[in-house]
Parts: sequence; C-alpha cells; structure tokens
Amino acid sequence: MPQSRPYGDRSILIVEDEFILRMDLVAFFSDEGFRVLEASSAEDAIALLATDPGVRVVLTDINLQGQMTGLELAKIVRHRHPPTTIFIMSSQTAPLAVELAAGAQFFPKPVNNVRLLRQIEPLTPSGEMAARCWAS
Amino acid sequence: MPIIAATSSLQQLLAWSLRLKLPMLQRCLLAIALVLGVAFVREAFGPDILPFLFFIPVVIGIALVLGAVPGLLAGGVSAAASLLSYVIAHGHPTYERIGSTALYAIVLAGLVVFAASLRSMFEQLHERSEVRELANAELAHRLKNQLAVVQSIVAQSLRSENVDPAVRSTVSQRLIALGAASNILTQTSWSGGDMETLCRDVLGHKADPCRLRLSGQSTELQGRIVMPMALALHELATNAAKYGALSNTSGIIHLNWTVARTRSGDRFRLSWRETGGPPVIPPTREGFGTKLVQSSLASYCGGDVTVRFPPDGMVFELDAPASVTLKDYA
Repeated sequence: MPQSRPYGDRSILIVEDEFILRMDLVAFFSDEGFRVLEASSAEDAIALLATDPGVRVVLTDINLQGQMTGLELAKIVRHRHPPTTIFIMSSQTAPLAVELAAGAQFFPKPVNNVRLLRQIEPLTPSGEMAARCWAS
Repeated sequence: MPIIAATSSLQQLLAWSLRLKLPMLQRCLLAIALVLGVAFVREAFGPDILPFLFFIPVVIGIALVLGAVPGLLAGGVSAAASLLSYVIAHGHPTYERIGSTALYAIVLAGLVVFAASLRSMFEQLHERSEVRELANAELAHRLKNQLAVVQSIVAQSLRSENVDPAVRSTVSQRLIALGAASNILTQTSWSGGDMETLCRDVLGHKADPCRLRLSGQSTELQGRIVMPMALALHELATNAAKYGALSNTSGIIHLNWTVARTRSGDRFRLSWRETGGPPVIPPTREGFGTKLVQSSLASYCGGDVTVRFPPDGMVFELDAPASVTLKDYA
C-alpha cells in the first residue's frame, strides 16, 4: 500500500539510463503536471536529491550507468530522505524482498505508466474506492 | 508408485551431491566410513552370512552419488573387509574363498564404472538445463526491454504528432496488455499461463477488486492462448469502462471459467457478464477492439465466441476445446 503521505511538491525523479525510455517517462509525468527531474545514474540522482531534497517520488531502473545499481540507490534514498516514495522497475525478475529498500515497490518492465500513476496518487477517487473495498 | 518415488528421491540425492561439490579426499573418507559401517552391521549377523550381498547396494550408491574413485575404493575396502571377517573367524582363507572375493571385486568394479558413467551423464544433463535456464532468463530480459522501447517509441511518436489523446491511450494500453501477457509467458518459458494470474494482471488496475468477481478452478492456459486472451480481456475491460459496468460507480463484472465434460470432449468455457451498468446500447461500429474480442480469441482457441447485449449488461462467452486452450490437456 502507499508508502508515504504527500511529501514535498508534486515532483518525481526519474532514474533511467535508456534514453528513449526516460524521455517517455519524463513526457508522461510532465503531461500529468509533475515537476520532473531526471538522471541516468545513481550518482547523478544522489547529487540531484542533495540540492533538491523535497522530491516526493523516486522512480529508478535497476541497471544504471555508473557503479551503483538502482537497488543501492533506493536504500540510500530511504536512509537520507525517509519520506520519499520509491518505485523500482526492471525487465529482470523481481528482486527479493531483502534487496528492496523498505517500503519500495517493484514494477516489472514494460512499465504501465497509468498503473504507476495510480500508485503514486492513491488519493484519486478510484484509489480511495479500492482501499475501502480491501478494508471491508 | 514406490518405484517412481525411489527414482525421484535418487535423482534428488544426485542433484544434491552435484551441488555439494565435496573435495575428493572427503568423498573417499566418507566412502570408506560407509563401507566399514556396513561391515560392522554384517558382522553382527555372524561372519558366514552372505559375505558380499550387504556391500553391493552401498558400493553402487557410493559410485552414483560420490563418483567413480570413491566407488572403486569402497569396492576394494568391502572385499578386504569381507575377507578379514573370514580370517578372524576361521584363520587362513581357502583358495575358493580368495577366488570368490577376487571375482566379487572384479564384478563390483564393473558395476561401479557403470554407475559412475550414469552419474556423469546426469551431471551433463544437469549442467545443460542450468545453461538453458540462464539463456532463457536473458532472452526474457531482452524481450521485455525491447517491448518497453516499443511502448516508448509509440507513445512519443503519437504524442509529438498531436494524435488525439484517446487514440494514444488506446494504443498504449493495448501494448501494456501485450506486456502483461509477455510477462506471464517469460515466467513459464513460454509454456503457458495461469488464468487467474492473467486476469489479475490485465484487469487488476482497471477494475476495483470489489467490482471484479473472478471465479474458476485453477487453470493453466496454453502458451499460445495467453496473448490473445490478455488482449481480449483488456478490450472487454476498456469497453466496460467506457460504456458498461465500469462506467458508473456500482456496476459489477462477473468473470467465470470452467472446464465442462461433453460428448465431443472437454470444453473450456469462459463467461464475462456485466451487471449494474447503465442500459446497454449495442455498438454500431466494428473496430479493431471488437475483432480482438470476437474473432481473434475464437480463432486462436479454435472455439466459438458469442457476444450479446441484453439491456441489463453485455455478455461475452467463449466455448472452446480444452485440448487446444489448456496446457497439458490430453
């Protein structure tokens, strides 16, 4: 279920090294009215978050440019910016629970953008309804 | 049945020993210890009872699980132990006894070599299946990545050409349904897909759980049916969201499947029934979506699809031979 209360502004950091995929995600979330930041490596992402700590959502691929993987990035983000909502995506098999940063959610690639958006904004009407249904 | 159980437990033991990768010295010591253990047990029955019989299964087992060298060693030790037992009880052995022990050792060596070659054949098979699994995982990874790139290219091309957002969404959602199907297929190496998992993956985010009532026995679809089934279910849900049970706040979709026995063989029957939606108006236009629902699935399944539009909710039914639709269905 949703990891955090709304935090910071309506912003998302997309960490994806494959340019075509990143471009699509950036355009999709811009269209949805997000302030979008982008990085192609975990190192760049960490630097961006240091200067802009109010980012609400981090969406990262597992295989990235540079030394660090998205799984390591997620753990660092969880440690340094605890309220951030974290999503991890990959075309490889789902990581084990211990590999995922606490509360991070995994999405298999190809990612369903609309589904992702639903998870990010659980307060949309349909999301609210789903939550009620599960509870009853 | 006990034979099958024994065979599979022997296979498991073999697979376990291959994973264990004990060093040779440890394997040889283990083999000697096992044979000496058996020698003591046999001694308890008296020195003259069945001099070799107790050792044969143990030595062959050692050759199978630990390999040729420990097997030959175990064979030698068992022959020596048998002879020693005789010497302790009766003094100097007869020539006949020495001859039979030598014969035992030779025959046993042959059996050990045979068992060890079975072991190495098993080892090769084991390695090959590991390589195949790795190759399959890599292929699945690349396919999914490729599919993600296709989705991005299509989405961005349509976006930059200012195509109607409704069309853009239709196309991307279809590709996403295709992605869900591929995701299930890669998990089973393209051999099939669980019906309920497929429904949840394709429909889960389109319908709230309380408005999607799934019921059906555990059913594995055949690999080639997974993709057309995913696309058809996706179109049905899209249609329901636009005009049917998912277009208001109270409509419900009942999705049932069952395998029915009939005179002409077993049939896989699937029904999608909408209730509580707005009054149904039959569609006037036949688009690609309609074809995915009505013709494509029927063609892949070799069965019949009927779509009806009674006023209280549309009904979709598939009736197809289970042998074509379901996995491992004789």
